[in-house]
Amino acid sequence: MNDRKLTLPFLSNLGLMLTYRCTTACPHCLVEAGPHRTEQMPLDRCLAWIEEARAYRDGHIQGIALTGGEPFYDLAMLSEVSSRARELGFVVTAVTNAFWASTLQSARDTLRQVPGIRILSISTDVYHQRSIPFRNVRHAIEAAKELDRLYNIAVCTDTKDDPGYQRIAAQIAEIGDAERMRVAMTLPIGRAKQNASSLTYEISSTPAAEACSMANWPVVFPNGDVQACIGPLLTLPPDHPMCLGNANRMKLTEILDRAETNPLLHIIRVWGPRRLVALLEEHGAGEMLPKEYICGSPCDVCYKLMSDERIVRRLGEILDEEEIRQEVAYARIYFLNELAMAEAYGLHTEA
Amino acid sequence: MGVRRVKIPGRFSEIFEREIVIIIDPVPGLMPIDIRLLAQAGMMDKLASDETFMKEFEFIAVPKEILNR
Repeated sequence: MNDRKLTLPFLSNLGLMLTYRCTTACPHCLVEAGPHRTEQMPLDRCLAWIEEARAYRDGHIQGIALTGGEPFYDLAMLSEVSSRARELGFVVTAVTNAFWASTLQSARDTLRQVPGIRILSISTDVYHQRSIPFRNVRHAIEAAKELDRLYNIAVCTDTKDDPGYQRIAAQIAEIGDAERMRVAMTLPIGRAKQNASSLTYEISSTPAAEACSMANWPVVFPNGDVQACIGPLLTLPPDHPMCLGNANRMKLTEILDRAETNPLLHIIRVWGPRRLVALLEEHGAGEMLPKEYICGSPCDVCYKLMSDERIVRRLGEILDEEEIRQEVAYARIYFLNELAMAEAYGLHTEA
Repeated sequence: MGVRRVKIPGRFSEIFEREIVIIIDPVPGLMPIDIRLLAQAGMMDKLASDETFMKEFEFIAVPKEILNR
């Protein structure tokens, strides 16, 4: 068990994508956020979804993750949302680019206005640093330490060989936070699609072996769409199986309950999207499959499959097979100790 | 809370037994998930004390032959 890392159960954390607004329009941004965007989650809906989340399965959801865009763009809203979530007992986390931390004093002043936020994830990379210098990150970290907030530093890059990435990794190491640095892969999706030719990837004909544990935590978007994860699929029209529903049209809790019996979602959680590739091959649909994948990126596999209407349709037919649904339900018990799907299918569980 | 007993049919358990699990970290970036920080914030403690949250680890099932490549 020593090499296993801690994680959280399915649906124990809910993301709220507060806004597409951001102080900067980074060239890699998946959601294409920027100062020109206007979409923002209505405050009353946001607070209502937090209340609904609190009541869900008698407190099953433990964390609220605030994301964007830049959640600090509207500080008054962030303050109200994070405080209410904290009052209700959630662990509240937020991403930020630290634009508000140009001085140490402004960093302190800003963080004091959001006492409900317990954990900050500060983004910095070659893209963010075009408009937000590293000193902002330093100030945000220093203020976070003073005010007893936890933090990590999220860095995005297409390759760790990039000199820009290496410079930033060195800056982070210099302030003693190398262990708090988390690296994500820039994908040629969203705004980065326009610059795809400048990105460097190792390519393989074999899909990544990893699964996406991000699919454990759904995210509500400003228009009410509930996506199974905050990955590249959110850039697609919401008619793919990883878009779980719209919380303006049905209750958030019903959407979450329905997610328990979404076989495609749980295949991705248990085995990863490579299992979907295998299912398509086993069912004679191998010719539909992409010819190459980005090495080590389950997100790339998932995006390539879900952005092809023919593949989505064929997967829907395959996953309608009772035997496959049962296999997924039993796999959730075997590997994840999760009974919900088997119970929903009326399989053999007894108290 | 009662203990639930589940009998996984042999045709499935035989497949599952041929697989092992690997563990991955959540991807940072747009979603500020960091399990170690959540544990520090006390979130994992709350989960661990709740019998319905029986899982503390991420399990990703992978056929053994993939890891042996």
